[in-house]
Parts: sequence; C-alpha cells; structure tokens
Amino acid sequence: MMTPPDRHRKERFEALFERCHPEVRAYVLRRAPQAIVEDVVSETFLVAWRALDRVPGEPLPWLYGVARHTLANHRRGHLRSVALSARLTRTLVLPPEHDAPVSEEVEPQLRDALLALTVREREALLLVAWEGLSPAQAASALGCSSAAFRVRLHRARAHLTQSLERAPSEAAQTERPAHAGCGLIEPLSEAGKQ
Amino acid sequence: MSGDERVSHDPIEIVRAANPVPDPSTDPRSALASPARRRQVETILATDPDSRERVLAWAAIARPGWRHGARTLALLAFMALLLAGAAAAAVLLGGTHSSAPLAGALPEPSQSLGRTSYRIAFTPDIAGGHVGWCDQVDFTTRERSLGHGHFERQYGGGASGCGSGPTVAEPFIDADVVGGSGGREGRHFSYQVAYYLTAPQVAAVRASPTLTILTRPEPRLPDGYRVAVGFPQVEHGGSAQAIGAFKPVALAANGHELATRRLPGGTPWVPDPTVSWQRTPKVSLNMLFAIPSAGRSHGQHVLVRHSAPTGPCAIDSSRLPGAQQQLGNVVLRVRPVPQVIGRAYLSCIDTEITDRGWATDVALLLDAHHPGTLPAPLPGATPVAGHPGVVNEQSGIFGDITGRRVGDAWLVVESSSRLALRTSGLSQRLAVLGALRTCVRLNGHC
Repeated sequence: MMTPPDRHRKERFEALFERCHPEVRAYVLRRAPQAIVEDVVSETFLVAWRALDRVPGEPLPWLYGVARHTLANHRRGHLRSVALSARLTRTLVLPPEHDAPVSEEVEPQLRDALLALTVREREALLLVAWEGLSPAQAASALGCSSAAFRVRLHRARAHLTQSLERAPSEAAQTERPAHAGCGLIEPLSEAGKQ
Repeated sequence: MSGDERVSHDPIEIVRAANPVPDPSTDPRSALASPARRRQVETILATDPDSRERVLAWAAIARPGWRHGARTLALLAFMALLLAGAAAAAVLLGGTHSSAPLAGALPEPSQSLGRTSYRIAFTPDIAGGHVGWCDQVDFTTRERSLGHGHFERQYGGGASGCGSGPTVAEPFIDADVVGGSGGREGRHFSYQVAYYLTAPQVAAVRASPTLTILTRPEPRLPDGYRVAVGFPQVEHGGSAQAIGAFKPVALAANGHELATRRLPGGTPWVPDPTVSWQRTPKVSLNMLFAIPSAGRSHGQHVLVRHSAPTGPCAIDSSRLPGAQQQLGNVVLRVRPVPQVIGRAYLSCIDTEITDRGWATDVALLLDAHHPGTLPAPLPGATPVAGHPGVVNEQSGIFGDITGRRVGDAWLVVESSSRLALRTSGLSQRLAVLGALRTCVRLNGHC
C-alpha cells in the first residue's frame, strides 16, 4: 500500500511533469532528431524522479541542464557506435547531418552559423532565444555564474554575427576551440591548427 | 513590406525567429491528458527511486531467488491461462534456459555441412572518454576433417560492438543477436547466437516473448558481471532479426522487470568534455578507416592537429623512432563516474600510433569510481613471461590487449587495424609498452 509520503512524492512528480513536460520536450525537439526525442525526455524526467528532493523551486533551468547532459550522452553513444562500425567494416564514415545539435528545421545558413559556434556559445544563445530564459536562469541551467554566462552570450552573439556575414560554405567549415569559463579548464593550446 | 516591419540585425532575434518548435505553453492541453504521456509517467513512477541501494542484495540472492521468481511467473501464467487462454500463458511461461558458456559448439544437429563453434570475448573499452566494455563473437564452421588438424574447408564470421558500463538505470552492458548462414553443393550451415552482458542484479534476460535465458557468472569479468548466451533459432525457431528487433528485458531475482533505459550502447554519465583529434585533415587513399575529415562528427568537434590536445592524461611516444600519433580522444577533465556499478575503467586518453606499417591503439585506464586510486586488475589477463609486471589479455575486440601499471593507472596497448594494413603482434605491443612515457595529472603533477 502506498504510504502518504510516497503518494505525496508521486503527486509532486506528476505536477512537475505536467508543468514542465511541454517545455522540456520542445527543448529536445529543437536539438535532436525526432527518433530519440521521447527517449531523451523520458530519461530526463527519470533523473528528476530519482532526484526529486533536489529539484529546485524553479525547475525548468535544472531540467534543461539534465536534458542537455542526456542529449550529450545519446550523441556520444551514437558517435561510438558509428565509429565502431567504421573500425569493423573499414569504411569511410561521414558525419550524418541529422546528428548535429540543431534541428534540421532551421534554415540552412543560420543552422550552419549556429553549428560553427562552440557548443557552449550555441547553448547559451539558444537557451535565451528559443527557451526564453533570462541570463540568470540560463546560467543556472548551464551551471555557471551569471557573469560567466553573460561573457559567453556576448561571444556567441559576436561570433554568430561574423558567421552570418560570411559565405555559408565558409561558415560551415570554421572551427574554433571551446572557450574557458563556467569552471571548465581550457587546455587546447593548439586547437584549430592546420 | 509595411513601415512597421524591420529586418532585425540582433543575432538573438534572428535565432528566435527561426525557432523550429514554437512556444509549447500556448497549448492549453494538459501534458497528462494524452494516454502516451500517462504511460510515460507511470513507467517512471514504477522505477524505484532508491534502487541503487538494492543492487548488492540482488546480486547476493540472484540464483536461488530466481527459482522463486520462476514460480511467481508460473502462477501469473496460470492466472493468465484462466483469463486469456493458452496463448497468453505460453507467452508468459516461454522457454527458460540456462546460459550457454562463452565458447563452445552450437547445438544444431540439422545443419549438414558441419558443426559451428563460437567464442565470445569481452574486453574493456579503451577509447578515450569511454567507460564500458566491448564484445566480440567469432564463428567457425569446418567441413570434413582431413586429419592432422586440417579441414576440407573452413568458414568464419563474427561481429563485435561496445556498450557502456552498467548503471542501476541501465543494467545491460552489452547485448547482441548475431546470425549467419552459408554452404555449398546442397549442404548448409547456419548459426544464431544471442548474448547479453549484464550487471550483477540481472538474474535472467527475456530475449524474446518465448525465450528467457538465465544469466551466469563469468570469472573473466569483474564485480559479478553476468552473461547470458542462448541460441534462438535452434531452440525456438525464431530468426535473429526477430529476436534482434525485440527489446530485451532484464529480470531481477524475484522475476520482476528491472528498469532499462535503452539498448544497446546506453552511455553512463561519462566525464565531459572529451576532444577527438586527428593528424590528417583529409581522408587519404591508404587510410582504410577514417573518422570524418576536419570538422564535426556527430555534434562533436574533431580537431585537426599534429599532436593530442593537452589534458590531465598524456602519452609520449617520442622514444619510438619513426612512430607517429595519428588520432585519438582526450578527456579534458577527469571526473569520477559513480553511477557505474563495479570497478569499471575510465579511459582518459587513447591514441592511435602507427610505425612502419603496423598500428596500435594505446590508452590510459583509470578507476572510474575513484580516479587516482589503483584500478582493478585487467580481467582475464595473464603475465607475459620474461616481462615483469606486463600482462596480456587475449581476444580483445581488435586483437589482444597488453598492459602494465603506471602509477594508479593501466597503460594498455591494443592491436589496431584502423590505420594500417597490418595489426601489431605481441612483440610490437611490448616494444610500444616499454618505450611510452605517460603522465596522469589529477592533482597538478604527474
């Protein structure tokens, strides 16, 4: 028989799900192919269920953070399986377009420009532009300070503007190393050479 | 264009306007109104939020408890028989079989060409940033013996793959169903093997609605990891494709289904970030394997550069004259992976080294739970005579793995066929192992 605390916990989770599911699903849809959306959303809420006592009063930024990690894990798993296939079959593997972290619905030139950003810059910009988070909320979702987030967002805006002003093909080929900030070490002294 | 319409130059506004999924809050329907959403919630709610603490208990009672679970299933099946007829009961009861060993002959009397033997091996996944295991299955079918160990004709086949370290939410480490067939002159052979590598709490695997395989301990694997091996076609007339399409279900000792996120290749919370790099910007004709040419691979950056990016783990091959590091993966910040059950390894760097036409993949393996402490022995590895401290593990996914401890890490060298026509042998791996210098800088110094 379900005890009152259990019932209370389930009710809290259902309320969280009802309140946040549409936004979390939209977040994932904007970044992932349709085929994995439901998996990622389920895993995100499974984490929330396990960690219900740690979900903050404003849950959405926290859930976006969990969904971001879950998506990264899915991509890593897929990358590994494709790389492994290549190792086994000795065939050339090209990066499938659908696996890029921006929905294919986005207009190609803008999508290329977004993909030319670093992962952190892109996520900072999209959390504000698509999820409509305030800088403080987005910083919470990314686990960094508001000041660090503002720097990152500023760089994202600048780099996106530069990319959009360049030819689309050039923008798509540009790679930059990730930037320091939000507590991450940046040891890539030679990044982007060649 | 009317006077009110303006083209925005604010990049955030440009991106906002391109939002592929409009604001969902405009939909007045409740998220729980949909039956699919309701099922999604109920599935999550059915997961024990504190289940991690139960893992050891499950492991301790796995075998005897399963017998109890079988009775529970039988009772459920009887009730189903009363309620829904014999078909439902057959599905519930199914065929429950003990796991076959990791190597042996397929119990297929009907094939006319000869018996097929199989061998399944598991080795740590040494790719940088990975915490998991790789498997390899080989099949050999031999025609009539000519004596003295020679056969009229021999057929071979196999497959391999990698999976993540097990977590409470994902008790399957790896799973695969492999099949094939062949023959000549009216005689044929065929084989189908389903195999699963699981966490200790998995007492059985429902491989299909009609085939359940009891797991068995495997002494070559650490931490009570278990395996289940079965032959779907032989025992149940099913096809590998049909079984492969069925999402296997992990069963606890009491017969209950264990929560499983997805299969296979579920990835635990792997330390982030990991950078992939490669020396050659374009794929050349003599590079049989290639990670994508300069740019991006599946949402991750692949840096083109002459050496591995700097990270807490480093491998120096400069004492190998003529050798060249070609590509690899580097973890930029080492973090523990407490979610993984058992003493799994976290590879903090792997690098493909080529030298005069042969290649090896070298890596540093840390303890995934507590990087900086002594990692577990390499499972199944045996000492190499004449080389103190060096061990060799046969049947790695791409060849044998040879390793030695360096501080609180394993330095391992695996045969590789990615970049060279020839894979390395033990002598090459020993030469590489002896010449490499390493650094694991978790606390500011090597």
